Order: sequence, then structure tokens, then C-alpha cells
Amino acid sequence: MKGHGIFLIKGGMFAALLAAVLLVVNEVLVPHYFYDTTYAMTSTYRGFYKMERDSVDVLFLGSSHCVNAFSPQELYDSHGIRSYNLGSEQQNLLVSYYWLKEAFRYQAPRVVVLDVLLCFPYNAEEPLNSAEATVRKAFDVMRWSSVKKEAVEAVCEYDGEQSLSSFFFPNIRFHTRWSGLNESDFTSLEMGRHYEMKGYSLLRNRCNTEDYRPFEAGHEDGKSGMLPLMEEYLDRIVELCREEDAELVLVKTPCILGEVQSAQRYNAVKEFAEANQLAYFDFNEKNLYNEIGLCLSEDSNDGGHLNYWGARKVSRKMAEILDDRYDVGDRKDRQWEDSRLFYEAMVQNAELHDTGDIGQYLDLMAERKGDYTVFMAVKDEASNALNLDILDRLRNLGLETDLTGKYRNSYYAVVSGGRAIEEIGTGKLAKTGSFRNGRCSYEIVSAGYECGNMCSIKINGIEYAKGGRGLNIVVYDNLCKQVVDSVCFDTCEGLAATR
Amino acid sequence: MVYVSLKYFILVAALLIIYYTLPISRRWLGLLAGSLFFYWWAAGRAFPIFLGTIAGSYFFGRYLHVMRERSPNPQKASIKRRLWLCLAILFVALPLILTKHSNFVLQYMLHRTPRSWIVPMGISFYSLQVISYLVDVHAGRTEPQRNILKYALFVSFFPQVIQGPIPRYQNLGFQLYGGNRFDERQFTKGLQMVVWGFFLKFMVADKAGVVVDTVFDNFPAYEGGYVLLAGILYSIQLYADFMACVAISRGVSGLFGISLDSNFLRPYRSKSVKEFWRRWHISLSSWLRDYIYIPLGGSRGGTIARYRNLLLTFAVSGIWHGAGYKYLFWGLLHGVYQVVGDATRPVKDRIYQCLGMPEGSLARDGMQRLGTFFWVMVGWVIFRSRQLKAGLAMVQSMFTIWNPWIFFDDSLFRLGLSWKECMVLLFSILLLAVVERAQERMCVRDWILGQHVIVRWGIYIAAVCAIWVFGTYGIGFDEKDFIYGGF
Repeated sequence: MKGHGIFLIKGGMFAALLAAVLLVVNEVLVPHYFYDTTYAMTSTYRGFYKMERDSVDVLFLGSSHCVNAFSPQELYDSHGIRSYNLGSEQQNLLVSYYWLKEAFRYQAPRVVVLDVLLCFPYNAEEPLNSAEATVRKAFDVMRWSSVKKEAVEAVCEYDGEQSLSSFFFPNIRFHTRWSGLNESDFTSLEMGRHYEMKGYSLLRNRCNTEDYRPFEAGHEDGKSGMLPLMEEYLDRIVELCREEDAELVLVKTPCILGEVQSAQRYNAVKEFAEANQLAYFDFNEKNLYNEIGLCLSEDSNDGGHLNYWGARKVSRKMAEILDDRYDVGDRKDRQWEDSRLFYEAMVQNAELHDTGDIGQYLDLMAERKGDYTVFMAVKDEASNALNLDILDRLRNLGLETDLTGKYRNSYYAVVSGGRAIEEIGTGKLAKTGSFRNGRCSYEIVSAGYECGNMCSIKINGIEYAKGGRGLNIVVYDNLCKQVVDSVCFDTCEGLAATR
Repeated sequence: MVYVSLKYFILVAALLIIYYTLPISRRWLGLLAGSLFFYWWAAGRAFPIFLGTIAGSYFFGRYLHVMRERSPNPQKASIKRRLWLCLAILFVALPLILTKHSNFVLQYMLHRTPRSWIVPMGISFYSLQVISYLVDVHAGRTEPQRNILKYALFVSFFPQVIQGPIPRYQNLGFQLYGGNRFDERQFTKGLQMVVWGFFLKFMVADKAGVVVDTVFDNFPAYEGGYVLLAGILYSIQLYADFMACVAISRGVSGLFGISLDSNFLRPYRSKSVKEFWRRWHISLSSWLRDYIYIPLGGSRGGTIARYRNLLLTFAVSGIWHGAGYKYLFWGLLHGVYQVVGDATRPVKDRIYQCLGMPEGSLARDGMQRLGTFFWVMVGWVIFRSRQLKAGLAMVQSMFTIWNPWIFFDDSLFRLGLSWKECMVLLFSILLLAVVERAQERMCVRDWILGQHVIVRWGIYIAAVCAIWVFGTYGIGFDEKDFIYGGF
């Protein structure tokens, strides 16, 4: 090989360049779940690595129920508790165990709160009790270390469908994603800056179900069986917490499961908790449920996952328990102070989506008009029920057109970055344009009763308008990079909201 | 998937280090060790059969040579020598016949329970390789290898042992034993060839294979136009798949400074089936010509004898590809194509003249190429079908079922590939066609090597990234073995 040194150096340089390019390609191919998605796993885990060392006192682990139930910001704001939610979709106990192990490498939490949903059959036909994709979501973001190596080896051991090489070369698993790449795949550096939610996912629907009754402890003798593999990893979590001198608290968040099944699972976990001298709180248990004033119909997104209003109650109660029992409250930390504004913006999105009052709706939009791009289009008739109060609020939003007396006129408006574009007329009106520096396009059409009786608000080609009579409004949050609400207020008569 | 697996390339890398750090005269030992390890790793329990074939054929070769030396008239083989040759060929061919054909005879002809054989990997290829060696030694065309280890390397040379090309001792042997100095240009060209092989496999063959499998595995759910499309795609898949395998074999050999023969010469540009077989799987075609067709008499003995020899040769080709009536039929079909093509040539020439299409005109060339592709494609439909009966029914449906709307109403995007994947496949096929066209005028690899380093590296990185992102591989796809690995 003598005399081939330059060739080898060049070859090495080429290999390094190729490897760098392929790393970037893989980074794009691996799915990202940032704060613009419901379960922002990428934001959660990347954000966790960015936390100052040993600054987290309480860790939450568990399934999506846990992700939607425990808001670290609420714990901090109510009791000064510095917590982080490391839960993930369908997080089974194996995933919880390895993420806990990983967490101990960076933080020294005094309390670990574990949601027990996945101890019991959930996706029992799957080797790990949860879908393969959710396991990948949790582990693909984990930094490479002996913990990750051990974790993926364990995953591959139990799930023959998974391959070790696909963790090292994620393109093996995700190469088909090229046909579905979207904006966040190419802006992951920018998107990755937001992890203010600290693992909490805020849901904003209300399920309005009446099919729920909390169970009464002691009324049911039966006991559900945990899955052996899940129980094995639960034991390992107990052991790990003891080794790391952290208190383990078991919880079950409120969800519709059936009174008997809830009680039987409660009995099983209670027995385990007592045997291991652990605390256990089940928010489906009647006393606790009533104590915090939960009403699943109002406080749950879909019967299983708590919405913001339910999470607020459960988080604050959890904060109270943790502060009382483990003295982890009354801390001051910049990391939770700084995230409050972002969190409040997300809460405001939820309130915007929740309200049916046009006055409140316009106020909420006006408060964040710098962040929102608002689209309005009239269908049929939109002036009859407008009053001075509403017109004032429309003006607050930056809209100058006076709709008074404009019976059955067409009208559209686009408010972006505090600047409004609007047009009113008796014929059909249409407008196309872009916002977010040309990253998003819109097409807006309005036609009053006499000239077509229709409306359309399309963003990036997708129709969002409700298409009802009156003022159709679509709100795009530039911070979240998504439509946060679409509503139609019948400003012809009654001002009722339709979603 | 041995030749496209990560483990295979780790082995190649390790062997390259060993090969180029050994003294030149000992480098062949590194190759031998690597080749035997590779076969043991890939074939497992069949390894002893492989070793037995190597040892037995070595001694047969030596003995055939000794007999020839002792013969008063070496040019004329005595009956005894011929018998020994037959015995040697039988020794090599017996495992092939037993493992690949006995079950067909047992199950379909004798209606007995088939037996479970250990089938050595690449047996169809290395058996022909060894037979050609024995025949050549017998005929005095080549000197036998005295060193059994060197002979073992000739048979087991790892880049080509499983799927060819089928080498001749005269062409390969001396390259293996002499030891090659590291040649930067050849090394780079070898890497280029490997990347090209991956492109053919993942971007063309396996992508086309998704649609092909859907149609062929679900016939008669898909008929008419679907069969036509699947037939065309299978023709492309088979070509790209086999060429991918050969490209990787040639590329890896090139890394060691060893040049393997090309096995294809743009076969779908052939203007007749006869020409097709001069361009398709060249190492097998030339083997059949040299060891079947010519010994049968070749073109000597008049037209009828020539036609008979052609049919017999192609029947052997069919049987070599696998056990089953469909393979025999396919082989004979190609024989018939050639007989009919030859017999009707004057008529066809006259028709072309009447149509104003002289020899060499663009229109005539185009029609001939299209016609040849069509008839070859019809053969491939039978070749790919589950059974002969199903294959014939598929061919029939191609001509009798009228459903051209499937090419317009998005039905094609419901065959396993989304429209985006179809676009990638189409683009890849076009790129293959462009490269083949360019190859008629120049060596594309040399052209790339002649470019500025930025262009050169840009091409390499773009190629690897394209395969990395758009290729059909990994989780979610059925891993497809190289098709010819099954023959």
C-alpha cells in the first residue's frame, strides 16, 4: 500500500463527507414530533437534555394519559415544584424503565411519578404491549449511550420484528418517509428550540360523555393481572429508584375504563404498592375524584385523556400531594419562569377553541394578534346581529371595515402580524396570498347570499372554513405553525358558534 | 440478500485489509480463506457438500489430465477417457440434479412425497464452472491446477460463487493466484460498480418487484393490461436484479484487482431473439454454446440438425433454471423463437422491403427491437408465473382481456407503489436506459473518473443519497433475494 497515502487520505475525506451527508439525511428522515403535533416526543426528549443538570425534582413517566394529565408548568406555578414529564404515547414499562435510567444520568429527581396504565394489557398482541412506532418514537430521540444500547437490545430481544441495525441506521426503518416529509422535518433546528411544555401535551376538546362513574375503593374484591413483562420492568423501576434514592409514586389518571375494571386494576396496583411500600393515587377513586372537583365530561378530551381543564385540576392536586409528602415545593427556577409565556399562549389557544362567545373570542385573538394569522370570510349574511361592542372588538383586531348595514354583502379579511387586508362588496370576492414569509399560502373566497352564498378559507390547499352562515373564522397560530381553531359565528342572527 | 447485506461488506472490508497487507505471493491465501469463510457463513450445513465437490473435481481434473498425457493420441479421446469424463461430470452434476430436480420428478411425475434436501448455495453456477473446467482439462484446452488450495479458490471465489457470472478457468485463474497490487483506478471503478449495483437492485429491481409480485401473486385478480404491465416490469426487474448482482460481484472483484467478465450487453436492444441470447447472461449462453450446442454438432449437419441442437440446448437452459414444466417450456419457447426467426427471415426481409424499411433504418431497428422485447417478455411471463398453466393463462389474458382504462384511472397506483414511488421507478428506468445508451459510446465509469473532484464526489454522494432515501429496502418491504440466486 506504499505510495497510496494521498489516495487513502482522499478516500478518508470522502468517507467522512459522505457520512456527514448521510447523517443529515437520516436526521431529516427520522420522524420529528415537535410542539406542532399532539404528542411532541421530540420536543419532550430533546428538551429534557437541555435542562440544567440536577434541576428537576420530580419526573413523570407513563403513557399518553400521563402526558396529558401532568403539566410541569401548573406544578411550578401552583407549588413551585420543578418537574418534567417524560411520558410518551403508549409508553410501556420497558420504555419507562430505560428513560428513567437515562434521566438519572442527567438529573437527580427526588420523586418519580409513574402512570400504571400500561402495566395492564393495552396492545396485548404487541410484544411490548404498545405499537412498534411508539417505542421508536421514544427511543429514536434518546442519545447514544450504554443505556440506549441496552434499551434497543432489550426491544429487539422481545420484539423479533425490530432490528438492531435500524436503530443505528434509522433509514432502514424510515426511508419510506421521503414521500411524506413536511416543514418540520426541514426546520428541526428551529422547531427544537421550543420545549417549554416540558413534556406536557395540552388537549382542548371536551368529550361531553355521561358514561363515567368513579369507583369506590373496597367495593370490589377482584384483581386484574399485570402483564408479566410489564411487571418485571415495574420491579426494575422500583429497584432503580431505590438505588438512586428517589421516591416512586404510582398514579392512575382519570379515564373511562368501567367501574369494575378500574377497581380491579386499582386493587392490583394497591397490592403491589403496599408490598413495595410505595404511594399510589388513583384519580378514578371516588374520594380523590370528588375532592378535586373532576367531571370527566368537562375535563376529558375523549374519555381517556384529560384536556387542559382536567389536567390543571389533577396537576395542582398532584403538586399539593408531592409538596406535602416529599417537600419538593417552593423552588424558584428560571427554566420554569421563562416557559410561562409560551405555556400561557398554548392555554390561550385552548380557551380560544373552547369559547362560544364572539366577544371573548375576538378579545382572545386581539391579545395575541402578533402571533396569529386570522382569516375571516362571510357566507350568506353577516351583519344583522352585529352590535357596537362586537364592532369595537373587530376594530381592536385591526379591522376597519364597518359591516353595519351591509346586508348580505360578501366580506373577507386577513389579519397577519397585526396588519389587516379586507374587502367588502356585493359581488363574489376572492383573495390569494401567503404568510409566514411565504411558507404558507392561502385562498379565501366570500360570497353573500345574492352572489353565490358560499365561503372558503384554504391554507396550503386545505379547506378549513366551517361554511356556515355568518362570519367564518380560521385562526392560524404562527408560533405553533398550525390552525388552532375554525369557527363560524352566525352574525346574522343569534351569534351562535358552530365548530 | 447476502451480497447487499452490511455483514457482507464488513467481510469485504476486512478481506481487503488482509489482502493488501499480505505479501503479493501470499495474497491468494487471504482470498481463499475469505472465500471459504464466506461460503461457510452463507451456506451453513451445505458447506461439506461444497468442499466435497471441490475435492472430488480436483482429483478428477488431475486424473483426466494424467490420462490425456498418457494417451498415445491425446487429441482423440478414447472411450475410457470419455467414460471418466462422464463420471466426473456426473459427480459434479449429481448434487445439482438431486437437490434441484429430484423433487419435481418425485412429486409431479412419480406422485411420491418429495424429500428435503440441503441445497448448497450457488450450486447451479459453480457446477457449470467446474464442469467447464473438467471438459477443458479433458480436451487439453487448459492445464489442470496442481495446487488443490488454488483450485479451491478458483471454485469458491466469493464475489461470484453464488450467482455468477460463470467464469472459465483460463480467464479467472491467473488473476487469482498472481496477487494484485493496489490499483487506485481499478479500486475506484470497483466502488462505482458496487454503487451501480445497489442502484439497480433497490431503485429498479425491487421497486418494480412490488408491482410484479402484486399482479403475479394474485392472478387472476389482475388480467389484461395488468399482465402486460407486470410482464414489462418483470422483464426490467429480472434484468436489473441480475445485472445488480453481477455489478456488485464485478465491483467487489475489482477492489481486489480482479476483473470478472460482464454478463450483459444491453440485451433489450437486441433485434432478434438470437441476438438477445448473445447479450443476455453471456457466461451461461457461451457455456451452453461451448459445452452443449457445439458438442451436439452445432450448426453442422444441415438445417434440421441445427434446429434440433438449438431446441435441445435451450431445453437444457430451461432445465438449468429450475425444475418444472414452465422452465422447460420457457427454454423450448426460446428455441422455437430462434427456429421460427431463422426460418422466416427471408419473408420478414421481404415485408420490410415492401414497407420501405431497409436494413439499418431507424424504423426497422425500432420495430425489431420492440418485437424482440415483446416475445422475450411473453417468455418471462411464463417464467415468472406460479405454474405453466397459470403462465399460459396470463399470456392469453394479455391478448384477450380489454381493460386499457387501468392506465388512466389510477388503478396502477393501487398495485403497491404510490404515484411518487412510480415516478422514482420511472426515473430510475430512464436513467438506466440513458446510461446504457451512453455505454455504447464510452465507458461511463471512466468518464466520471475524468471529471473534476467536486463533480466526481458530487455524483457519488448524490447517487448514494438517492439510493439511501428512495431505494426499496428495509423495514416495511419484503427483502428480496437476488432472483438468479434461486436458480
